[in-house]
Amino acid sequence: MARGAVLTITKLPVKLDAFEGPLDLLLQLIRAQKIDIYDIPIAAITDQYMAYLTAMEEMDLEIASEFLVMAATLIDIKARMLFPTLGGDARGDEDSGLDPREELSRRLVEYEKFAQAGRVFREMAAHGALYGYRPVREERPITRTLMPGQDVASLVASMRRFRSRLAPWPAAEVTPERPTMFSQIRTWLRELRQRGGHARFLEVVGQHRPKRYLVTAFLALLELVRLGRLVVMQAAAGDDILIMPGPAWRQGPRRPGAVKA
Amino acid sequence: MLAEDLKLQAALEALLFVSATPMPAGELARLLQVDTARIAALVLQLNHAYARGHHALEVAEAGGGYVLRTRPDVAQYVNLRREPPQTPRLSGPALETLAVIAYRQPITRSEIEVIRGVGCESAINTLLEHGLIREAGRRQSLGRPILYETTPQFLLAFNLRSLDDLPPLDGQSA
Repeated sequence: MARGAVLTITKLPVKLDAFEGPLDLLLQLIRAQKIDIYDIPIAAITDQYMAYLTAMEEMDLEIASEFLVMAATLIDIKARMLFPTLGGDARGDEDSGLDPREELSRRLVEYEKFAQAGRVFREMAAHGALYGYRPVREERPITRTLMPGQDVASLVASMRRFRSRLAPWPAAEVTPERPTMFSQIRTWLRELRQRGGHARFLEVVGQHRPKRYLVTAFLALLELVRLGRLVVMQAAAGDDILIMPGPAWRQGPRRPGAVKA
Repeated sequence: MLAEDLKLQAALEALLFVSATPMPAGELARLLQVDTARIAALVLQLNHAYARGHHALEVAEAGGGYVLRTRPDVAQYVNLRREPPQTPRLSGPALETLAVIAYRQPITRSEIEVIRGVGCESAINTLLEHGLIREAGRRQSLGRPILYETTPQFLLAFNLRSLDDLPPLDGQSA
C-alpha cells in the first residue's frame, strides 16, 4: 500500500497530536478502515502506524515513548506472524498455537470499552452537576475545653511570664566580606609589618577563603610587588608564595592618594 | 396523616438537612428508632411534600445513602452561589482514567497505564485533588505500588447510589 494512499484511505484528522496514545491511534486506524479488530492485518497496520509516526516527526511533534514501544510491539507481532516457528520465548510458552495478535486485539477492545465509558462518564458528570448539595465542611464541634477553669486573661498572663523567662536570642553579626583592593593592600601591609616583612601567602590569607577574596588578595600582592614594596618568590608551581620586603619596603606612599604604610 | 408520622417526617428532614454527606438507611433507622422500610416510606412522603409545596429540594439515594439536594431545574441559581464547582469539568483522559478505576478498583497506576496505553500520573493527581479517588492501600507485589479506589464523593458527583449502579461496560458485565 503506497504511503500516499494510506493517508487518504484513513482520512484521519490532520492534527496528528490529537491522539491520546498509541492505542488511540491504532484504534482510529482500525475503525476508520472498518477492520475486524480480531483479525488485524498486521503488516498493513504497522506500515500505517509507522507512516503516522514519521509524519509526526516531520511536523516536529514530540513522540512520546509509548508510541515507540507500540511500534516495537507491532514489528514484533509482524515478525511472529511471518515466522510462526520462531514463537516460544524464554518462558517456554507454547506460543505456536496462539495468535500473536491476540494480546493486541484484547488490549484494543479493552481500551475502546474504557474510552466509551469515559464518554458516558462525561454525560453522567454533566447531569450530576445539576444537583446542589450542602457544602462539605469539617465538623469539629468543640465539646469541652482543654483546661477547665482557664480564661483568656490567665492565658495572657502565662504568656507574659513565659516570654520574660526567655533569654534574648544571641544575635550573631555577620559581616560581609568586602575584599576591595584598598582594604587588601592595607591588610597585607599590616600583616607583613607584624611579621617583620616576611610571610607566606596562604599563611596570611588563610586556606578557606572564598575565591573572590583569594583573587583580590593576590592582585593586591601583585600591586605591592609592582610598587616595589614587596618581592615574591615561589619555589615550584603550586607551592606557597614567599613574601619578602622589597626595595621600597621602608618607603611611605610614592604617590599622593596611594596607601599609607 | 398521623401527627406521629409527621413528626418522624420532620425528624428525618432535620437529620438530612444537617448532614453534609449521605446517610445510610440503617443509620437513619437507628437514630429515629424505626426500621429501614419505614425510612424508605418517610423519604417518599417527604419527597411528595416537597413536590406539592413547590420546593426546590428532594431526597435522593446517592453516594451510599440518603441525601438532601436541590433539583436540576434550579441548577442555574445554585451556580450563582457556588465557589469551587462540586462537579469539576474533567478532561477526556481524566474521565477515562476515572472510568478504569471505577470499574477495576482497586487498581495501581501501572495497571491503569497498561489499559490506557499512556501515562496517567497527572490524571490521577487531578482525580485525587477533586476527591473523586483516594488511595486504598498497596498491592502486595514487587514495589508495593499504591492502589486507587473511588470515593463516596465520586458517587455523588455522578449521581450513583452505589458502585453497583455503574452502567455495564459496553454491554458486558464489568
